[in-house]
Amino acid sequence: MDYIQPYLMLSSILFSMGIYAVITRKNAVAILMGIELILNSANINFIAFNRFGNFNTLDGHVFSIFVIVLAAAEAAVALAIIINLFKNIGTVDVDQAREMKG
Amino acid sequence: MEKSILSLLIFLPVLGAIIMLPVSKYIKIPNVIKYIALGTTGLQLLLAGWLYMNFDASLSVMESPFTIQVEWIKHFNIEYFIGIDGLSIPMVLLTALLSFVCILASWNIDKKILGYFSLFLLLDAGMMGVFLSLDFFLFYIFWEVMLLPMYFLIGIWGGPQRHYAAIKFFLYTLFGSLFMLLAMIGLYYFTIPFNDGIGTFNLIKLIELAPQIDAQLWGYNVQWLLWISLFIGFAIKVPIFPFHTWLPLAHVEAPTAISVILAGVLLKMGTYGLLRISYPLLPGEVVAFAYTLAILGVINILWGALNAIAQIDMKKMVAYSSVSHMGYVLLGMAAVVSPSAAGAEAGMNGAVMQMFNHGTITAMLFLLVGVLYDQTHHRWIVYPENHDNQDLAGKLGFGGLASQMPIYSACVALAFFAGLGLPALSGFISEALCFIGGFSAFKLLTVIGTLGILLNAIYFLRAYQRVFLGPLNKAYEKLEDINTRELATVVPIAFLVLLFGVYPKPLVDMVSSAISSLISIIQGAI
Amino acid sequence: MREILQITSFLFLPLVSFIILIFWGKRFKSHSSTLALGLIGLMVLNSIILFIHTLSHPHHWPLEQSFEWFSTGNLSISLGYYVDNITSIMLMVVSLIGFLVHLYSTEYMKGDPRYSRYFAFLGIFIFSMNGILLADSLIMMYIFWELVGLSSFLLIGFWFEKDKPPLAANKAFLTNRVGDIGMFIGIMILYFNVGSFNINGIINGVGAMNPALLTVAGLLVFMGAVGKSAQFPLHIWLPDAMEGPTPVSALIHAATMVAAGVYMTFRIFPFLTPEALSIVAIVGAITAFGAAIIAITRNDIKAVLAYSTISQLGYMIMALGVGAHQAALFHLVTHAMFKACLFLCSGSVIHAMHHSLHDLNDNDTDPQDMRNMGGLKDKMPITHATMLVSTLAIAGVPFFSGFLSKDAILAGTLSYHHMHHGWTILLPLAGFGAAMITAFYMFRLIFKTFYGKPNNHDIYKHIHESPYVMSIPLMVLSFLSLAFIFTLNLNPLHGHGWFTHLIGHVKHVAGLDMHLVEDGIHHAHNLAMYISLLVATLGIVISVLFYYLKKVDVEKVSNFFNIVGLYSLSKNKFYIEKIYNTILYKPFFMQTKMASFIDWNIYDQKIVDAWGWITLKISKYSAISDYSILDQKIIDGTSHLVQYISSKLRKTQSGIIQNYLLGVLAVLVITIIVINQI
Repeated sequence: MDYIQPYLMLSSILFSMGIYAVITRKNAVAILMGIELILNSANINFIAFNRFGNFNTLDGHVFSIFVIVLAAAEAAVALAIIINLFKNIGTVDVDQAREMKG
Repeated sequence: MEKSILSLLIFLPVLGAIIMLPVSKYIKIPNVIKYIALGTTGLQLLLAGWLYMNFDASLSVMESPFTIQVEWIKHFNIEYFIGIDGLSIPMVLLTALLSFVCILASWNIDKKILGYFSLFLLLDAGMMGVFLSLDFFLFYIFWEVMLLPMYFLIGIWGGPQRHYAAIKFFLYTLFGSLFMLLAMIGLYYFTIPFNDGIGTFNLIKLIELAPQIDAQLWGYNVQWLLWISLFIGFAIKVPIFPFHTWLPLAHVEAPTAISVILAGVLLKMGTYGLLRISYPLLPGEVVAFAYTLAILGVINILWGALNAIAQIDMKKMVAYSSVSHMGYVLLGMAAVVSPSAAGAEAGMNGAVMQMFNHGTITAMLFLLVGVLYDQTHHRWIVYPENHDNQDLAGKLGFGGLASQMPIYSACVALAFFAGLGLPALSGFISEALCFIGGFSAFKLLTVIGTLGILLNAIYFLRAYQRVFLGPLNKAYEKLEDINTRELATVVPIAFLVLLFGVYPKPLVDMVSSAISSLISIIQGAI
Repeated sequence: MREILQITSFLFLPLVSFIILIFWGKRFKSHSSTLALGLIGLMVLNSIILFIHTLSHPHHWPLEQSFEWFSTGNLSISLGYYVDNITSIMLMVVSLIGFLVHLYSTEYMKGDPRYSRYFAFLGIFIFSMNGILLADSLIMMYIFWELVGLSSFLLIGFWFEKDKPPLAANKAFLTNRVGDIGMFIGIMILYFNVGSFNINGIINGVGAMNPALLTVAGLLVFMGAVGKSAQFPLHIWLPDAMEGPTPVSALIHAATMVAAGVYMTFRIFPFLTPEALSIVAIVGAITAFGAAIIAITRNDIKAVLAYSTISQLGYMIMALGVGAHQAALFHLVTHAMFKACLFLCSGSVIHAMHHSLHDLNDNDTDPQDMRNMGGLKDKMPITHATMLVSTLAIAGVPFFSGFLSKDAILAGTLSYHHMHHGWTILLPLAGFGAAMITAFYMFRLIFKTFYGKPNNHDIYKHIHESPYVMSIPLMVLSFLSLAFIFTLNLNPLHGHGWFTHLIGHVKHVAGLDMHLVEDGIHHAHNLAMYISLLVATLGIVISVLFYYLKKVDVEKVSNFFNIVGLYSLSKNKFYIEKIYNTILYKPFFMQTKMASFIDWNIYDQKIVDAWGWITLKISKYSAISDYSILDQKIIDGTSHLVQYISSKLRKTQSGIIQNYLLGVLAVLVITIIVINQI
């Protein structure tokens, strides 16, 4: 590919799918998967722009490796929270976690 | 000593009150509080005596060695300015004597002793301060200092209606004090143009400055407004009809010693204020108002006496008699505008002497009524129609006590005759001088006022006959005669009454030169 | 110095007696009388020495001395004495009668629990009375005037355990006070027009005064005498004063205190204008005649004497009013002697009656009522004799002093009428009429008490004559009621002697020509004498007819007089007491009750407390508005609004995170679109 648009379209589609997953899925783990999708779409964006952007440095690539690391750490923490949530309310259905309801 | 004696006179009682607080807690002698109070007032009396010995009546305040004048609140030109002259020395002596006597008379107080005596000593300090202050602000402070202890003293240790009486007395007098405050501020403000741009509260300086005020406020002459405000403030204290109705209530409900102080000293503050402040500062207004003052005086004399005749509670009768006697003072004071120099002197000297003499006489009266009340717990000459015990309604409250209590009856006879102005007792001289002065200035009014001679005799003699003479009332066959302590409260006062009745020269000499200068200030404005 | 001491001893001796006996009397007990007698005895000696000095050194007089009491600069009040012939006569009269009364009282008051106090009070009375006599200024006289009133109060009310004496004492003091008011106003008027309180100073200074004002001032000062000397209309206290012990009545209500009014009028006589004097004369005449009429119907022996005193005082005042000042003073002295004697005699009778009733254990019968007496002359010869002598004196029988003095007064009234004609005929008519009635009722008293058959035999049996201590004063006084004592001339019709000569003449400065007056009196003298002889005889004869020979039925005569209501008028004392009660006393006390009601129940409770009530109402409404409006509606309303909004907003917090995210996303998209538009 010689131009950036297909990469951006791919990342937008992935982003939308990730948002869709976060907003509509009941299962906490599924929401996490959506978050992963969002993160990865952002990664594709970073790399695409770095490749096609007349940069001397490889900031985008390096940044996306940061994001992968962070995503991994965050997934670990999030899963730990979900395990705690399960221990407290017995389910991973986020609709049931409404203690903060006004 | 000379420099500090006046301050000592004022603050010694305060010191006494403060000492009482820890002493009562830690030293467990019975009656230690009463002894401290007695000692304090006794010391005060001795100091006052020393002051009298060394007092030179011919010196004015500024020349006297006793005067103290130091800056206090510089920003407003307020000074700690105290001094003594012929006008205030009889009052100081009276206060010292009566405070001492009242502590003796209060010996039987049995609840909240610490509170009573410390409040009383504060009251004492306040009274002394009023009579010695020559700075208006200081005067006002001490004036207010007097009010609060009185409220508590009446309200806690008084009779059945004490709360009503205390609050009425307090609010009524405070109402008057507000006018005095206004006048004070007015004087300060309106004399600014005459005093190099600074206002002043110094009463001596104001004597020169105040008559120069010629401003107008809301269409009224400022001097007139000042006079009226001061007059209302003092009139409530005197009390002048129609501001007198707090008096019978307060006197009846207050405990004996407080009635004595109220009638003996506090009433004099009204007329003292008029003489110290209103008269020298606003002579033009005095001249214009003198006739009204004389009318008010005669109304006081007659209305007070008429009301006294109808009373069946002995204390209320004596209270109304005070209203009547203060009427003499007013009449004498009004005589200052007399065209005859002798008349003006007679009136004014008579007025100041009557202030002292009435203080002593009425003190004796209240003390003696208190003696009877302590034993029998009622003061009815005749039981009222709506008395609780209907068997007694309308019957004589006492009767024939002279056979049971001869010494007491003799003391009461002396007090009653002094009250009605029998010659050879001090009341006659001051009364006669007030009439002589009043006659020289306002003939018809004084003639009407002389009816007071008869009216005052009527109620005293009737009361004496109904309570002490006649057959002895069976219910009181066991009464004890007056005891030594009570006699000790009455004897010094009786001695003074007799002394000044037979030999009034010391009293006259004390006051005459200060009065002469006051008269010349006012006569100069005619 | 010796002179000052001598004069002031008249004040100090009785005062010392008073002070010692008042404070330490209980220790002396029955010896109190000895102490008092000693001191007063000294005073009598002193007065006699002074009197002899007066007679032998006429040019040293008058003695005067003045001490400044106090001064206020322009006003100076001094006390001092002024002793002239009159003063020394009066001092002797007071001292002598005082001494005799003291002596008499030692027996009369024996056994009284307050014996020492009695003598103490007598002491202060004599002190005050001497003060009046010695006074050189009206102010000093006023002071002692009131003190005499006090002494009278103490003495009348001496037996205060009974109901009536205290009331009588009050009445005396208050009635005197009414007179004192007038006196004080008069003194003030004189001071401010003449510049002095001193009597001589005033006499010399009134020339420049407006005559009308001088008349008023003189009459006002005279008002004091009206009160003190029991003249109409202030006479009501004297009969009630009989509640006091009889020696007291003798001393103060017959001889001395009531005479003080006459003495004072005598002293101010020089500046009483003729108009004032005419009023003085009228007052005296009314009193003389009216009291005599009332005395006729009295049954209490002391009451007769009381009204008789009032009547005789009326004579003295009338005498001064018509200008016969010598006669007035003459009568004052003679009256002092025989009236004191009469009272002491009646006291002797009452004393005997008391003892008799005591022996009979009778506590109800009145020992003073003449209807319980009768026929006492055999049992009480000395009392009878002395009383008869005094009665003859008062009735105006020749050889007795009263004849001379009364005659002189009546001559004065005749001469006055001769000069002024018209209505003034009433004055001699009143004078002679009263003389006749006086003779009548005085002999009625004698006959009812001493003659006839005893009305009550039991009482009569136990009557004894009084002991010598009581009889000696009677004898002395009756001796002094004989005519020649005053004239040193056995001729009973000769009225002038050393005594009248001693009184001398008075310089009148207010328009009365004393020469004319004295001439007139001199000319009327004989006529007066004849008429008074006639009148006295008539009176005595009628009395003898009624009461001694009992030839006339008294009942029938009283009823006859009652056709025109005269008898009732006399019996009821002209209804004066009732009139005073309805017109003065009741309305006055009603007024005071009303004043108290207005002052307290209306003025204080409604008007003054109304301010408090208004303040409380205002504060209540302000509290209400403050709370229910300001606090509840406005402030709390704000919070309610906030609560409402938040309850609505709370619904967005569903607790579902994905909704929140949706929200975030939506806002983000909108923001991007909006930003791109701008």
